[in-house]
Order: sequence, then C-alpha cells, then structure tokens
Amino acid sequence: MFGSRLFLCRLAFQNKRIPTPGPVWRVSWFSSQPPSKDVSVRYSLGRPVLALRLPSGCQGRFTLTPMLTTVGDLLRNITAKDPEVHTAALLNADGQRISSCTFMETVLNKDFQLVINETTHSVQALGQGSSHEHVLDVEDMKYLVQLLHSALRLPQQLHEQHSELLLRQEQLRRQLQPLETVRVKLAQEAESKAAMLGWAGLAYLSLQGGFLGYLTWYVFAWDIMEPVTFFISCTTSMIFFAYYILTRQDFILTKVSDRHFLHYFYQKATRHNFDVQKYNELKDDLAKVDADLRRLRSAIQLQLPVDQIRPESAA
Amino acid sequence: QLPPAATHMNCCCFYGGLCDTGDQTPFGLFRIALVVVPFLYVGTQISKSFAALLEEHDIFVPEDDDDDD
Repeated sequence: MFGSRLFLCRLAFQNKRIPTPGPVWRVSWFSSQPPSKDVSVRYSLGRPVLALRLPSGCQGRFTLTPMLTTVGDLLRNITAKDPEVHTAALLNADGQRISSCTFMETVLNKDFQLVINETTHSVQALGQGSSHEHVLDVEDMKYLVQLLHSALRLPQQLHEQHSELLLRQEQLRRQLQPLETVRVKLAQEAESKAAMLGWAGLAYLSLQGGFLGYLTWYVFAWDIMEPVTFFISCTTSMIFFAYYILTRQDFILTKVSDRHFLHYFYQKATRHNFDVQKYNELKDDLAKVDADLRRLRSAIQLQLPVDQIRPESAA
Repeated sequence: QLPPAATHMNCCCFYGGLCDTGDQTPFGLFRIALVVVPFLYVGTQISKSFAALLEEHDIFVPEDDDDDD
C-alpha cells in the first residue's frame, strides 16, 4: 500500500518569445501517500476542522473538539451529513482501523487515513504546538491581555475591594447612627398619635351606639329609629367612598393607620429639622454596600465567581 | 383533610419557620371597656337631652300609642 509513487506534474511556461525546448516535466518522489487534496485538517477559530469532499460533491466541514469527539462521533457525523456515504472508517498510518471510542486527540497527533466508500484519503497530522492561526485583530489581543490580567490580579483585587467596602460600610453606619436615634424617637411619637386616632374612632362608635340605643328603647320605637339608622349607614358608606376618591386607597384599617403614621411622622420631622431624604439616601447606600459585600463573600470564601446583581425583593 | 403542616399556611415564613405573633396590647380588653362604657353612657345622655329638645320645640313628638289588642 505504501511505496514510492511517481508524481508527475507538467509545468507550462507562459507564452514568451524565448525559444523553449518544449514542456518541461518535473518529477518528484514521495515516500508515503501524498496528502490528498480532498481531505485536510486545519485550525479554524482555535479548533481543528476536518474539511472533506464528500462523494455527493459537496464540501463538508466537521469541527472537532479533540478531547471530546471520538472517532465514532466523527464517522457518524460524516454518514449523517451525506447519504451517499455507505462506509466510513479511520485508519492509522499503518493501515490499521482505529476503534470508534478513541478520542480525536490521539488520532490527530499522527498522520491518518480516512476511507470513504472504498476511497482512501490520507491526512497529514497537525503540529504539536499551538494553532498558529493569525491573530485576527486587536480585539483578540485585548481579550488575551484581559484574561491574563484577571488571572493574575483577581484574588488581590477582591480582597482590596472587600476592605474598601468594609470601610465604606463603617463610614455609612457612623453617619446613620445619630439619625437613627432621632428617627426612632419621632416614629414612636407619630405611632402613639396614630394609635390615638384609632381609640378616638372606637369612642365615637360607642357614643353613636349609645345614642341610637337610648332613642330606640327609651324614647321612640324602632319603627321610627330604623330609617335614622339606615341613613347613618348610608352616610358612613359615602364617607368611605369619599376617602377613596381623596386618597386613591381602599379603606383598610391597617393602611389607614400607616397613612396617618406617615402624616404625623413627616409633620414632626419638619418641626425637628430631620432630613428624611438624606436619611433615605444613606439607608439605600448602606443596603447597596451590604449587597456587594454579600456577593464578594461567596467569591472570596468559597472561590466562586462573583454573583450577578439581583433586584432585592422586599422581605 | 389536609395534613397538619398544610393548614395555617399563612403562619409560615418564607423558609418554613413560624411567623411572629401579632401586636398584643397589654390589658387590651380592659382598655376597650374603659373607652366604650363611658362613651356609651355619654351617648345615652346626649340622646336624652336631644329628645327633650325635640319635644320642647315641638319638632317631633312621639305619639303614645296603646298596645294593640
């Protein structure tokens, strides 16, 4: 199967006005099978690609992941791509058939032969070194430099950021502390005022109950009082609806109480010159710093990549 | 019949722990009674004077109808 093979090629000279003795024949010898023009393995975008002229005439390109693709996978892909391929096999340089479970990594290190429908193509191996692909443009260079930079700098950078964030957290907490005490005091006062409104409501309802009850049982009869009570209920529902119209909120007692609390709180805040906006900003910043620290914690302690920013849902 | 853990689902926190109990006002019922009873009494007094006012100015006098036979 091997042996020297005469390879004749004819060089045709251009039509010049130099008298030539005729076509010049050039003879070259190959000691093994010449590399077939139909099949070649080349690097493309970092992966070896097998380019193959299939029996049906089209050009097939099969990208190989050397450590994952097996010979069986490749042969399956070839037969799947072209229905005219009946038999496909991979032989090594000595002509022995390579088993299907061999990874392409071992195959590509040496010359091999690809047999398709009884036609044998011999393929030259790729070099052991890197792919020698041309760096396409500056972007690839930048990417490589960035990879190197992060690999070398990353742990130190994380620690630096961690200490920076701790400093910032400390600073914010120190700023917040006096504001926090004032806020707690104001909140207590506003809360007691809002609670007082609730008791006042209870007092009014019991007053109304006593009023109507006395009139019903001791002064007039129910037949006289019934319309009165009905119209009082009517008025109450009008009041609830008017509440909705004015505040665009449903009359739910917890929400009403919260609303009053906020109203009184803001009143007291203006009186005591407590800047609510600044307090809110500080609180937001502190929350962000805490979130960043939490994300860094997993990166530093557990050697995981830094978490993505997640919109925190209210607890 | 749901299993015991499935009833009262609102009492469980996000991770399955139990929620805190709500606000408890100390001496709650006593304080309510302390507010309701006096104001109830005040209401009756107001209605008494209101009825007297109506009768005095002759706006509305209830007729004393006898029991039906």
